[in-house]
Amino acid sequence: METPTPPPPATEHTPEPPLVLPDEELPGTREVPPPPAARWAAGHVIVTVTIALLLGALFNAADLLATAERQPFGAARTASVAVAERLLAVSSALRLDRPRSAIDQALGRGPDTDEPPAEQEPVVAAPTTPPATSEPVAAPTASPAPEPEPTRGPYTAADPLTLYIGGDSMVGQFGGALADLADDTGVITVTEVKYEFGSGLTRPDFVDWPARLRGVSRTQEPEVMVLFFGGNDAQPMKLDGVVYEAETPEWQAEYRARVAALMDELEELGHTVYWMGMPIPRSDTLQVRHAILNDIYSSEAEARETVHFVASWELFAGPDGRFSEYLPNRNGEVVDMRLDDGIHLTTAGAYRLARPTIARIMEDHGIEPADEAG
Amino acid sequence: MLFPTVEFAVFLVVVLTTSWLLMRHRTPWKLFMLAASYVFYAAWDWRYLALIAGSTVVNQAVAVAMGRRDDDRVRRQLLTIGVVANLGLLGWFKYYGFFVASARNALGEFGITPPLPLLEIVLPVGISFFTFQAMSYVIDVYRRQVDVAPWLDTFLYLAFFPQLVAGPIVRGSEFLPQLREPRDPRAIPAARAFGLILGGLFKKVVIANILATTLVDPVFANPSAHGSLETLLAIYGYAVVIYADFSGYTDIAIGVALLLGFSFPQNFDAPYSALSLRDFWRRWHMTLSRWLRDYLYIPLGGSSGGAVATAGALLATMVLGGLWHGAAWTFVVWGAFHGVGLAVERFTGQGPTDPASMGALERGVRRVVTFHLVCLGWVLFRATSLGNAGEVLGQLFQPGTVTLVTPVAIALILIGIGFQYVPKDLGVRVGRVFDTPRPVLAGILGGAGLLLVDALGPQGIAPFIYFQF
Repeated sequence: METPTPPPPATEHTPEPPLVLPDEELPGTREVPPPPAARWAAGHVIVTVTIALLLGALFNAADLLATAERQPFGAARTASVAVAERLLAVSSALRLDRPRSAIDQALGRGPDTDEPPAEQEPVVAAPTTPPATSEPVAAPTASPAPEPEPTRGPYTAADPLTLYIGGDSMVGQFGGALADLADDTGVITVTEVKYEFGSGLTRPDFVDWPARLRGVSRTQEPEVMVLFFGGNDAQPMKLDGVVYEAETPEWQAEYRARVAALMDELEELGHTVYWMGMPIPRSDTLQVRHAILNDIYSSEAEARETVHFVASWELFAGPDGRFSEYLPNRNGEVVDMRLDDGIHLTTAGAYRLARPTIARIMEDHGIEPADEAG
Repeated sequence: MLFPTVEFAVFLVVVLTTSWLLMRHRTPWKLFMLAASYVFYAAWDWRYLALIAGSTVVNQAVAVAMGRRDDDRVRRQLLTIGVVANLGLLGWFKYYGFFVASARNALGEFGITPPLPLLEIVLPVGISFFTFQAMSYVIDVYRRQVDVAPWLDTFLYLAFFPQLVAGPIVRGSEFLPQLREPRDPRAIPAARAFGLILGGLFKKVVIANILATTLVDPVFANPSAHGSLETLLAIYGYAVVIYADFSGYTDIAIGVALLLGFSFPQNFDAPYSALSLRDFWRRWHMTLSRWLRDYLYIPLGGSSGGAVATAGALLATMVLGGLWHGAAWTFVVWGAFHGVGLAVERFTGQGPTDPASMGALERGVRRVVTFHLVCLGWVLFRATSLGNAGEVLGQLFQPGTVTLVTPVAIALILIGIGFQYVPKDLGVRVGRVFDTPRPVLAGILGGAGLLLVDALGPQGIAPFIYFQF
């Protein structure tokens, strides 16, 4: 028990400290009487919290394991995966995983539901390095692949060019800006803007983008796909039990193979693909890694007729060629183009990239710029 | 370290257990709690520790120096040093880029380039909150409303992890006295704490995250693609998102503090049931509102001057309050909108807050009008630019197809707004089940709550909105 200490008193027995409310207009808190609550001993509280968290972990063990597996390879991931696997084993043995499965089922949730029963299992822990020109796998249930027809047109409001925008969190700002500019043309319809935080091509065990894009191809049939990956892709990969960093030839060969396979597949399915390059990041380490990604994207795109690389590195560099958070916008005003992480774009940055992107798409498809577009 | 993560769950169990074991040993307990709070903060970036520790040293040094002097002139000089240091810190990290870019653009019209480089400055998480707490401490010491605290107590006050990154903004006079004696290990309001934590998690992870990702973000990102109904529901949706996100965070913070034996002030009180804008500000982010009232509005003259002076003080307070939320013109205009609204209410006598003084019809009309005014303000708050805000509002009058409005979104909006009208004592009555400690039952219910929160929420955890302020 404690003696109230003035002023104003705030003791453990008065959860809401009484506040003197002067005769003022603005902002003030009103005195709220503390609810009469029963008091527990600390031991009871610790036991309760421990039971709740343990039970919560067992109920959600499958999700915890998925979260643990999503981490970059390293000691922390190994330890959390090991713990999560044991939790899942206990959860399954006690059938405590049932409620979560039932809820997931009721909500229609599952891994990448865009995709029909997968014909290609995602490689989780130890993907093998396929040859650089791996064969694309066409979805057996897909409707007959449309012929590539990049010069179809003229596009009208009644018969618009269809556009899908997808990728990792880089799409968060960029996708909205590009969709906005696409709408302004009046002849381009965006079928979907889809992004998943923390996803990419390095970790198909989290989001299997090739599978998802097959689903998009089948259900939305967009003529054009704008894809933006790389924000999370420069993380280590585990190949044949060995963890490789992005700077290693093994990592680059594997990543290149994945990019190539996806490009081949989308080309075969008849889509024109605009593959966005990563803009220059603030971090020196990431500059090296994102340059590796861009090199892979651009060289693989160059080798294909309907895949186009959209460079963005220089667009976000200052006159000295280095990272620049502030750059002039269309009106010559300097504005903040990058979020605090030095990777993602602000809305202004998103438009800075979206304008040349939509201009290129329009030019490639014979669409005349409207007054407001571009 | 975000609250709704496994890392924080493990951290909480360790800290909670160790804290109660050490509670009787004051200095070791304080050192442990300070270390735990710094670990929590360093999880974002260890370099932030230098910032918060440096801020604490400066503020405590000013407070100690003030405590040793009786000369009011000297005390005022010390206060000035303290306030300038805090505003300087905030100004450097939060507003430098905004002001320099604005100055460059304004002067650029006349062909002048100010000799101020555009630096890349990262905004540290929670700086707005701990800086405001530090300022309140220094000002209260100057006003002799709070005693100078021991160094270790001040370090812990500014770093205490539950409220460190997103409030509530706890005053020294509320927190420091609680450090003087050990917290009572037999008197924890556990039912209330568990209710706040689980409710806060549900508000953040389920309500805010689903509404933001499925409805609000797409509409604000591309307003022209959405017609009137979808835009209107996205605006209502954002009102619910920002309430659920922010009040969810502070509910968890208050609940965690209660489990550790500390009481924090309430931060939200059913803000969307407000009868006027004045009433709204007595219910929304209450710890910021009273901070602005006591350290800005009243020093600016408050309502003691004439009508023009009062209106000026209101406007200035709310514009600066708007700017506190972020370095952008949208926040300035949002603050000005509320400042003008409060002034108009004051001079037209439309700002009463006592529901007993009016009939049911008047109450209903006032609530609807106030809610919509607040929503209009939220459009400015959420928009990426004034142009974007105008575009969103313009879409309210455009026909369009409805693709994003789902039964789930409508249900969440209704729950978010309806929640404001739930009788306050309902939770207390439900909590009566736990008048007698029932750790096993409470633990099972807690586990079930975590199951629902994790299963119903979207995958991945978006950061809390108020972290950026």
